[in-house]
Order: sequence, then C-alpha cells, then structure tokens
Amino acid sequence: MTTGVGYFENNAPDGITAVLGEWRNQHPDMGVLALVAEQDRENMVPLLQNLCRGMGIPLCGAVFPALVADARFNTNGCLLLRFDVMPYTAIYDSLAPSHPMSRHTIQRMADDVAEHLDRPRGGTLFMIFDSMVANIATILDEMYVKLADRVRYMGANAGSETFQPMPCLFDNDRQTQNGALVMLLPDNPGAVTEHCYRAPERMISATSTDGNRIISIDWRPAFDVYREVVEAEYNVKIDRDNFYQPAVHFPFGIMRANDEIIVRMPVALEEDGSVFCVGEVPANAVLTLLRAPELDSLQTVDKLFQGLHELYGTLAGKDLLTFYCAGRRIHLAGRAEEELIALQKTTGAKQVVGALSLGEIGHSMQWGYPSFHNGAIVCCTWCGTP
Amino acid sequence: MNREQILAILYEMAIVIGGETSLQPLVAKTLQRLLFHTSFPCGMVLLFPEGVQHHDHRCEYADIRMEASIGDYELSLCNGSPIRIPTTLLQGEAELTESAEPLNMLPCRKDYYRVFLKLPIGDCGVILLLSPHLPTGSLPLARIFQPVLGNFAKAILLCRSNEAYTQGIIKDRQTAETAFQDLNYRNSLILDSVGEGICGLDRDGNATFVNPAAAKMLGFTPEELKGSPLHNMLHHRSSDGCGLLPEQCPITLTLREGSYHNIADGIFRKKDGSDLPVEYVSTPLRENDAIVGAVIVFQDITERRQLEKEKEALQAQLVQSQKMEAIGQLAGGVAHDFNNILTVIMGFGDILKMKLKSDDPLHANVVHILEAANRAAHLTRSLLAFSRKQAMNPKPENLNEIVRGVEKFLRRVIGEDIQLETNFKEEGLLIHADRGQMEQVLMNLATNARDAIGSGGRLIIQTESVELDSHFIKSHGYGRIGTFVLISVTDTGAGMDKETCTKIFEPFFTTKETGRGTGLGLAIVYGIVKQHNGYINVYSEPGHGTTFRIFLPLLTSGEVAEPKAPPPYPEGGTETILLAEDEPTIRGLLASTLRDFGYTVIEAEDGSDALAKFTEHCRDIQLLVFDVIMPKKSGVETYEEIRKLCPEIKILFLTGYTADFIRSKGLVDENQALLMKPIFPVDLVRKIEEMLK
Repeated sequence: MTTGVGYFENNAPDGITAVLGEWRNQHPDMGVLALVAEQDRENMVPLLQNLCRGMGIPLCGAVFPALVADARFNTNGCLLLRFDVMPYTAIYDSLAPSHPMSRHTIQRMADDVAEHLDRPRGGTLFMIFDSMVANIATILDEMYVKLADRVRYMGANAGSETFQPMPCLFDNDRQTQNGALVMLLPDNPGAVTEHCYRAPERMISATSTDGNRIISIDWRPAFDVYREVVEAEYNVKIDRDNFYQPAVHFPFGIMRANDEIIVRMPVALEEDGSVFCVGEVPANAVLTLLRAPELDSLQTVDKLFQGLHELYGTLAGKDLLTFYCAGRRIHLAGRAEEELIALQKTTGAKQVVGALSLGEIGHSMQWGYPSFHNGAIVCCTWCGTP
Repeated sequence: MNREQILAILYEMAIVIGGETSLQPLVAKTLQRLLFHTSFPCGMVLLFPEGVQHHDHRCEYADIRMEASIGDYELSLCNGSPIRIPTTLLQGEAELTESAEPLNMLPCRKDYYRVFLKLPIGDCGVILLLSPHLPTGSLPLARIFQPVLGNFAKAILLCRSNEAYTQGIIKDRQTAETAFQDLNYRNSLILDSVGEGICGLDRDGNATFVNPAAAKMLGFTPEELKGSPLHNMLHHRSSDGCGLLPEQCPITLTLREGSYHNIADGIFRKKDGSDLPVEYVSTPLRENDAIVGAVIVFQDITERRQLEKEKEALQAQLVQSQKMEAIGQLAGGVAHDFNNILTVIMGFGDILKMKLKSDDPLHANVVHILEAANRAAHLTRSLLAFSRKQAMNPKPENLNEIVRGVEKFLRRVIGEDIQLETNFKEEGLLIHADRGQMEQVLMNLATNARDAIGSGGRLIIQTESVELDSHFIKSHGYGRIGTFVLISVTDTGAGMDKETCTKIFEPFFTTKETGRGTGLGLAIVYGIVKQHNGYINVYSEPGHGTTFRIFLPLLTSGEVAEPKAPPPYPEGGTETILLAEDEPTIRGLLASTLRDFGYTVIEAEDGSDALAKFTEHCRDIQLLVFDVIMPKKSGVETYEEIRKLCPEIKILFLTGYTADFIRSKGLVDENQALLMKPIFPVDLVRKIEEMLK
C-alpha cells in the first residue's frame, strides 16, 4: 500500500481540491484520513466533507488539539493522509460506558473487524477514540479477547485539550462523538509507543476507582494523598486552584510486574477529592506518582528509533506518522518540538507528521496486549511495508 | 521494584481473584491481570475436569481442558475444549523457561513462541503464559505470583462448587418452570379449546385474559380486548334493550361485592355493533379473601333462541292441526248421521216425484223438498270434505289445465269488477289429484276473494314448482322435503289480522254477515288440500290483501286421463238380492227402489238376521247388499260367515263414511264394491246392474 501526505495550513479550498484531484487521478480508488486542528474544526470538517463528497472520495478523520507537520506543532489547518486504496473504515458511536448500547457496540466493533480480516493474522488495527470515552482500556481488553494477535494495535485519542465534549470524529456525511474511528490497515507493520516516565520508590494503591476516576488512594480522598505525595516526593505544592498545571508533570503510573509503567495523566478534580484521569485506573491498581522525562533527555527518541528500526529497518526518506501526547507537550513545553526534530533527525525520516493526542494506544511487544497510555509518543511510517 | 510494590501487585491480584464467584470470569480476569503485569502477549488457563485432580506422571501427555486463553487466535479457537499437552508443562514447580520444544504440541501459533511461564494452580491445573522472547523485567516472575496462585486454586474449587450448586438450583428451577409451563400450556390448551367464551377481568373491569372462543364470538381479536374496560367495549345492556349503567351491571356487582351472577338472557355487543345474545356467569376472583377481579364465562345462545322460536311455531302448528282434526272428526260424524237421514228424504222424495204426475199440485212441493235435500247433501259433502272423509278419485292431473278449465267460471263468480290474472310460471306441473276437488278449491278461494275485495280489485292465481327443504320446514313449522307445486291465490282485498288468520280454516268461522256465508268454504279448501297430502298457509295483513299458498306434491310422471262420458240410464234386473240395513227407513227406501227396477229383495234388519235369511234362501240369492256398520253383527262379519257357506257370492257394501275411511280402517277389502251414502237410487241400480252382469 502506498500513501501520500499533505498539510494545509489554512482552509483554502483550491489548494486542497487541487491535491485531492491530483491524487485521485493517480489513484482512482483512493481514500483520505484527515487530521484537523481543533481551532479550524468548524470550517475545515464541512469543507473536507463537501469536497470529498463532490469528488467521490471516501473520507474519514478526527479533530485534535494541534497537528504535527515539519516536526512542529500547528494549531491550524488539516493534514490529509492518502490511502491509495481505501481500507476498511468504520465509525462507531454510543461507546460511552453510560450508553445502553455500549457493550453491544464494542462487541460489534470486534465482530466487524474480524469479518474484514482476510487472513488469520496480519495488518494493524488503527483506532482513533474520542477522548471523552472513559473506558478505552476496557474496550481494548475486550477487543484483544476477541481478536487476539490477529492484528497489531495502535491509535490515539482525539478531541479538545480542554476536555470539552465536541464531535471530533467524521466521515463523508457526519460528525460524531463518544465513539471511535476504526481502520484496518492491511499491510501496516505496526507502531512503537514510548514515554520514558520513571517511577519513584513510593507506591500507593487506588483503593477505590470508577473507570477513569480515582475516588480514593490508600483509603483516603485521592486528591489529599496525591497532594501529599507530590509535596513529599517532588517538593511541589499543589492546591485545587493550580491542580492541572503541576499535575501534568507528576502523572500517575500504574505499575506492572515487569517494571513497565502505564501513565495516567490527571486532568480534573472533583469537589469530593476524586481525580479524573485520561484513561481508566483499575480498582486496587498499584500506583506511583511518576517523574516526567528530563527536559534534555532524548531517551524516548532513542527507544522509539530502536523500536521503529526493528520494525521497519531504515526510515530514511519515509514519512513518520506521530501522535504526541498533549500532556507531555505541556510538561516539556518548548522542548517538545525539539524532541520531534530529534526524532526526525535520529530516524532519518523525510518528515514527521501527525497530531497532538489526548491518549495513545500501543503495545510493549509486537502482536502483544494493547495498552492505553498517556504521556506517550506513538510512531509508525506512512508509506507501507519497509 | 521493592517489596511494597510486589505486595501491592499481589494485593490487586488477590482482590481480582476474591471478587469472582463464577469460574469463567475468574479465570479470564486473572489471566488478563497476569498478562498485564508480565507483558506476555498470550496466556491460557488449563484445568483438569472437575473431580480429576491428578494426572498420571508416567504418561508423556495429559488431557486437560482449555478453560480460557487470551492473545493467540489459534488458541482461542480451542477455548472450552480438551487439549493434549506434554506432561512437562504440568509437572514441577513454577518456572520461566526459554524452550520452544514443549510448546510445539500446543494448538497455538506455530514456530513463534519460545518462552513459557508455567504457573501451577495447585491440583487444579496450570497457567501457561507464552512469549516469543524473554521478558525484560527484573522480577522473578515464576515466584512472584506464587502466593496468589494458591488462592486462585481455592477460588476455582469454590467457583465450581458454587456453580454446581447454582446449576442444581437452576435445574430445579427449570424443572419447576417446565412443569409450570406445561401446566400453563395444558391450561391454555383447555381455555383455547372450550366453546364457551372466557374473559378474565382485573379489579377495574379491564380484560386481562380473553380466550379465542370469546374473541371469535365477539368479533374482536384477543389483543383488542385485553387491557380494555369490558363493560364499555361490550356496551353491556339487558335483554329488553335498555342500556345498563355500570352500577347495574351484574359483572360490576361481582367486582364490587364479590357476588355470583348467572344471567340466562344477557346481551353483549359485538365489534360490528350487532347484538350477541348470551347466557353468562360472572364469578369473583379472590386472593386472600380480597376481590382481585372476575371471570366471565359466556355462551352464544342465538341458535338456542332460534330453536325455541321454531319449537314455538311447531307447537302452534301442532295445536292448529289437532284443533282442525278434532273439528273435522266432529263434522264428519255429524255428516255421517245426516247422510242417513238425507238418504231417506231424498230416496222417498225421488220415488214420490216419480209417482206423481207433473201436473199434480203436490209435484212442486216434492221438487222443493228434493232441492232442499240436495242443498243439505251438498252441505254434508262439504263437511265431509273438510274432515277428509269425502270420496276422492285422484288421478294424474295437469294443474295449469285445471286452472284454465275453471278460469271462465271463476270470472263469472268474481264478477266484472274484479280482474282475474293467471300466471303460469312453468308448464307441465302434474299432481295426483281429484280434479273436481281441485276445482272446488279454486272456486272457494275465488269466492272468498270476491267477498274480501268487494268491488274493484285483482285476483291473481299463480302456479310454479318449489323445493321444500329443511330450512323451509324449520322456519314454517310444516312441510316435508321434496318438490311441490305451489298454487298462490292472491287478492287485493281488505286483508285480515293475525287472529283471523289463525281461525280462517275452521268450519263455520266467517267474517261475513249472518246469512251471507256458511263458513265452510275455506274449511273445505283446507280439507281437500290435506286429503291431497298438501299444505296450505295464508299470509295477510289488514289493508294489504291476502295470499293463500297451496303446496301439493309434484308428480314426476303420469298421464292425464281424458274425461269419461256420463254412464247410461240403468235398466234393472230380475235377480234376488239380500239387503241388510239396520236403519228401517233406508232399508225400506232401498228395497222399494230395487223392486221398482225388477229385482227380488229379501230384507234383513241386522247382520244376524241377514245370516239367517241367507241360510234360508241361499239358493236364490245372487247378491248381498250390506251396510258396513250394523248392530249385533256388522256387515263385514256377516259377509265373512256367508262366504264360508258360499264362496262365490257377490257383495256390495254401503256406508255413511267415505270409501277411503272404511278401507283405511281395513273394514272392506280393496276388491269389494262399496257405495257411499246418501245414495241416489239410480246410482245404486247402476252399480248392482254392473256387478250382476
């Protein structure tokens, strides 16, 4: 499968029309995955829908807080990723755990994908969830039980960095929310996910949780414990008013016995002291308050390079599709773009494109168990098999 | 990772294990957490069947059930199935091993996994986690989970025991449910099959149950009735047509007071708005003594009502027939005696008239006497006709020809003011009838019509053939199945009320002023029709004319006889005749007549006397003339005794009854001659002359 990439900083239809027209002339069965910056959603999504409908081009896409193009973050425009032949694509809504059809929809997602697998094993299941869906880890568990190692798993969360609900998923005809965009990429060798957050010695336990809400830690209100631990471990004072800014530097980590860590970024605080995270925290999970990567560390880039090299060999001249965690960018601030530039330089990729994401999906081992991460970078090439 | 971290992970695992009560979620969630913590991509829980806790260590392979697997597509296809694995994967302690060989037998992705983490679960089985390469962590994975695996084994046993117990409860419940459903099914089969309508009502009178028979009778579907207030739907009202308010409705009373009601003549309203006559029973439904509803059982009594009406009609018809029969017998009896008297008057009158010269001043008186006697004879014949004791000479006749034959005469009877119309819908309608009597019927009906019309009107005579079927018989209360000719005689006269119609065929019943009618006209018609095995009915309404309908059996074959020429005047003879008649005047009359015609007459006053006279003059007597009914010894008995003495002797019986009557009683043989009184002398002589030839 060959692909193409085009970034459009503004919503001038002529330029987009010209590129789509050229692509379609070369690839009559093509389709487009569009990543749209949140700021231009209201204009850009209808424009793309109209253009693609008019030209008969299958379209799917999602809205992200910012886009990655030329190894930089851009809060405007859209990024068009071309499939020479549009793969199986579907948008599912009603995934919110409170929705009565939620379990049925998850089951349907897995069944639909299984139905479109033309061989026992192969390809990558690329998923973009609305970040407002609170039970993504559970959904991935259920998908893995059903699909197992028949596919690799990768993906990211779309939506607004303010975590306000909005229709962030779309295709040719509709925009929706509280759902997922699922694409079955037949020949894609998968992605690499890394975050390099480190765990201190002190452990705490999420003694009471509800999905992505930690109600109590060590049998006390979650925020009280969080505040004490941050102060004790990192000498940083956190109160209700400044919660979000320092919290991105000290996310929760769910500890695994193999020393791996799943990052859970705290993003909101409730009156009762509950803390909301991006992603579920299982009840009784062993938690720690992670130390974010050092600002001058390139450890994550190195690990990504190793992983990508194992998968693809040389990346020279290839486009690197990257989803970069919004919380990570806040933590690293200006160093975040340097990390992207380092990634491009280290891998030798022609360009790094993608989006600022609100959660990342990947696995620590190829064909392994998919995990839902925060604070991570997900990378894959956008030019087919190596 | 420090001790605290390990304990925290074990704590989390212990919570997961302890939180499940069913085997499948227990093994699936435990496996999921193990995969999460170890980062192994694939794992399976293998358990020995329940009750089998040890495998044979001497065997190279063991059969075990794949209770759950996650992460390998091929492996997932074996979930829930028994698989065969090398015993090395079951034996020994927990271990993390890099060796692909034991994994080759597993039904998983081939040539991919090279590392397995074996975690024995007590005597229950083993957890195997598979990976293509060794994990990167520093913890001793083979030992770290050891503390919770014991709990896991106990949890498995507990879940199995729990599930077995639950299965037992479920089985018991299913058995009970099956029995309940079976009972329900049989009950519903009964309720669906019964012909009676059954409706269940709740406390508010809404239908909670309607069986198919009820829905069918009412013209609704059960769904249309269920949940609806039955009183309103059926618009309950009483049989007299008055609407019933809910508080008057027996069903409402059942619901309110718990009273039982059996209503024999209720009315329900059907969906199409028509009435459904019903008999219904309303019974309260009680639960712990409280009224919770009612059940209504009803049946459609439309047919029963129809049968009752038909029975009433038949009863009325029977009463009418019995009345007519009784009147007929009375009239017939009177006429019989009257005939004897008339025979004397007419006989002696006739002799007297023959002996008087025409210019004799007494001649005119005798003529008057004979005319009066003739009218009396006519009256007697009428009475006999009504009582069906009139002599009858039935032959195949063409009905239309009979009507055509009397048409001219009828016009004269009804006069010029009344228009006579005939309508022969079919030709060739044959009946077995006495032509004269049929003419009499038409004459009498025409006379009746004339009197009803007065001046200016129409008299219509129509003939056709009709089929009488069971429906006709049921609805009219008379008739029998078969093809009949129908003669309809319709006038446009004054008509009659219902009461008059019921008496119209009774003798001497008349609506005419005194002296204008005998009241025997329609009685004669009735008698003649009955004598012809037919039926007659009248339909009339005051002011709308009258129609008489006469049904006579249709003859399917037969030839219509030509009318005979009148017989010649008798000459008489010289033979000796033994005449036995208990009535002296008649005996004297007949003897005198026969002697006038040259015969020798030996008279006997009864049967015994006749027997004695015959014994005395047996050589001379050529003919016996006996009255059938006589005191001491009847004419028939006397003849039987004489015949033993003289088998060849000829006999002529006389009777005041009709020949049919006498023959039907078996008194006189079909081959024996019989004359009916009053007897004209000429007829007697003609008959004797014929017999002695």
